[in-house]
Amino acid sequence: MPRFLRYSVTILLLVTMQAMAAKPQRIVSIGLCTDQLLLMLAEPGQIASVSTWAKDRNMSYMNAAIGDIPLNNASVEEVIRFSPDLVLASDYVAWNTVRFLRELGYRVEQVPVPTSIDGIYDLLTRFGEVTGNEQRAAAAIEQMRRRIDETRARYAARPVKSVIIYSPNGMTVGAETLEHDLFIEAGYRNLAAEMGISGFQSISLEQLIAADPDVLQIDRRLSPQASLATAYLGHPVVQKLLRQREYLDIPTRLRICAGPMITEAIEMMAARR
Amino acid sequence: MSLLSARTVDYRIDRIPILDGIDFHVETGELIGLIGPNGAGKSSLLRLLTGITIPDRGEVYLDGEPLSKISLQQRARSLGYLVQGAEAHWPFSVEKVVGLGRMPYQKWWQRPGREDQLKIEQAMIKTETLAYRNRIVTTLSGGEQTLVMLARIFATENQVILADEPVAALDPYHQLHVMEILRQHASEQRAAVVVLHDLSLAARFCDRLYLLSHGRLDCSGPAGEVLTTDNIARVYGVDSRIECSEQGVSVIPLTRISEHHP
Amino acid sequence: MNLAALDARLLHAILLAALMLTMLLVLNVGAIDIDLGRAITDAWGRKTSVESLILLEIRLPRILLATLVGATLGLAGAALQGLLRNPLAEPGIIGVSNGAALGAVIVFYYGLAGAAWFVLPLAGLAGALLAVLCIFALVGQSRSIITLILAGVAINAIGGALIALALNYAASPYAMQEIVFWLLGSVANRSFTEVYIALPFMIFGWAMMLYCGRFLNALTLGEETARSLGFDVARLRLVLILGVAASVGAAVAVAGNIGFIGLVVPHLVRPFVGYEPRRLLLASASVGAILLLLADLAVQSLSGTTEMKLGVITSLVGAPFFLLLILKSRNTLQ
Repeated sequence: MPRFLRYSVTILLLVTMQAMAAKPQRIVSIGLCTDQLLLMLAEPGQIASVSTWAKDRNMSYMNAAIGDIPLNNASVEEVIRFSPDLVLASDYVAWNTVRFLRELGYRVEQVPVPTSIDGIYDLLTRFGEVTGNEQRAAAAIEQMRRRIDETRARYAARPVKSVIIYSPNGMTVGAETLEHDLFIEAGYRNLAAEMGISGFQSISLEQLIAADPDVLQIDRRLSPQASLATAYLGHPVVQKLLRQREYLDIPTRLRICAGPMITEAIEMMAARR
Repeated sequence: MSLLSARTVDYRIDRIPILDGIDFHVETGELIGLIGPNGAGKSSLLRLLTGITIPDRGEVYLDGEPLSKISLQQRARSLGYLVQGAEAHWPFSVEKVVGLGRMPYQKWWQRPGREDQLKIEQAMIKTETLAYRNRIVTTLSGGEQTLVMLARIFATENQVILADEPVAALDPYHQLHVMEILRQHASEQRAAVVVLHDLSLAARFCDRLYLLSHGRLDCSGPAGEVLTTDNIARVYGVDSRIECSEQGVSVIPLTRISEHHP
Repeated sequence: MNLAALDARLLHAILLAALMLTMLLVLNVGAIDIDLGRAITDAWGRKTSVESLILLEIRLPRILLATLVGATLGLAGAALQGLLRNPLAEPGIIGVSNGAALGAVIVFYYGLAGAAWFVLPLAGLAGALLAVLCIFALVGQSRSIITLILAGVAINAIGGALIALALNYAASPYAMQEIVFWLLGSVANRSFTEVYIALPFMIFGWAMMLYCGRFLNALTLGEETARSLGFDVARLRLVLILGVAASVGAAVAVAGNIGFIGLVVPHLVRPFVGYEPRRLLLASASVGAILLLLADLAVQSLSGTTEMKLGVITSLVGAPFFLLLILKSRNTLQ
């Protein structure tokens, strides 16, 4: 065979194999956030299963898009039943399952949890590469950038306000986190970061009061199941704060996962300034 | 009317008969001895007489009144109970232990007053324990502790003292001392009922004796009538010799009677 | 050793003063440094400021709760040791606290606590009472120290297991990790609500226990002598137990199981009251309150980003003390 032909065939074969390998057809996601990405950016034919979390109306942004897609509980038996050619999970999610699946020879891609908006763009790019949806990922990134810029412009005239998050067990969120970036883009000062907190940390009620926030981000519709962690909602001091200050009640599904939906969260926050 | 009496009392613990048809009475001025072998029911009878336990049949009467109709506080003032092996759990001072005897006269918020203090001292003088009023009671000897417990009873000024083997673990000196105190107490227009193992002491100090055997009253009466070699042989299962002298009666156990099982 | 039994009134005056001082001291400590003087003047003048808010709504209820719970535990320990004539008796060791925690957990995590204000502390009372009755059933007539401790171990183990079970099936996702609160106790983040719901039960319980003071004195001479002194032993024993159950039940329902206060305090105080069980009661209440306030002070000073539970401090002090007591009474243990 002429050398030219040999090279062409080889290259053609490699490209085809690459093309085939680059487009997984039975993708299983075993975590809420990878569910969202899959449902938003993958072709429906590629999705073999998403986790049961995807159906939760409070937590899952894409819960309406599930349709007939079978659900899984992130257990190994369920996952291998789908004969996946790709399993997706966020870092730290179900890592026992991840490890087991890898030992059994399945391809598992762990995607990082972004701690900034730029991190989300990186995440989407990577997701696009891994699932063979590069163009859709790029389009999503573009749309996000645009919406954030629009939001900033629309509410630029409003004053910058101070905000602090207070969640069960006194948890607040400081600098170098995605939540922090959202606040900045929405035109807020994150008091937790100004207190020197980086990442997630628990603060006392005293610290909350001393911070004296303009706005409080607190989930008032916490599940009615009683626990001590959520008992602070009944504390007179917190109730007073809620009465006297503004509070932000951004739906969980907009902020719990890193993805294009955060632009809606930013819009909501900016509108409340 | 007797000071303290029991009329045909029965007493059972978990259906096991302990006492059967006992009649008993003690008059003012008397020191009564309850004697009998181990397990005869002496302590049980004593407890019935103090009202700590309730007879299954029959009734105990104090000054003609059934005990069940008398309030706990009134009983506490009239009947003084000295338990077997009486001792204090916490290391109180002697004076405080004696002071406990004044409780039947105090309301729950009250503290001991002047009158109480007087009675406490009198009680200690009577039992010759005033010298150790500030000593810790748990550091005293057995004999001294018994005297302190007696002082506690005297502080309550009971009509009748009921003592369960008060001299069992004491040396001869303290044995005589305690019996003399009880004798003295009885003769002062009051009474005492004592459970004893020492038959000689019983003979010497008691006006009358009740001899119990297997929960039944074998016989009762003055010491001379009750303490006969026949009675002792039948109830205790020992041959004995009885000596009378000016100082009193001595009962000396000699040999066990082999076929007898008391 | 019987230290000169201080005059009763003098002793109580000293203890009360010490308690006030301690309360003031602990009021000054918290997550944030605030000017206590300004806080008080602001609060007095009804001016709302960060200082007055922190003082009135956060620190004051916390101090009050620590005082009330500490007093309850000290008093209950003294009462139980007097009743059982056992130096190792205290609500934690004999399982009363775990019983109370079980009652509280069942009612709190399964949505029943909101029905009425008294449901939570009442559940604590019920659980505590059940535990005590089990103890008495196990111990029977035995006077042995060992028997009581073993019975306590059994009830504690069963209680702890049932608490874990109840938390496991609770609806809230936080329930299981909150077991630390129930088993180790805390007064952090409590508000006046907790004080209000616990106080009536505590007062009732204290009254019952103090009423039995003379009875406990008489018990020094044994149950039969006590009865002959005019005390209805069976009834008074029940009154005392009810008092312990009510007060400890309420305390645990709002603050979790804080151990060893009821053990250590009576032993510390006893020489100063001439070993008299009746005088021991109030004195133990005061000292218990002081000790728990100091423990809370330690908790606030030592906590890192995660709150240290009160029971950690009290256990660090109390458990070695417990060990010492066992060693000391080794000869008298049957």
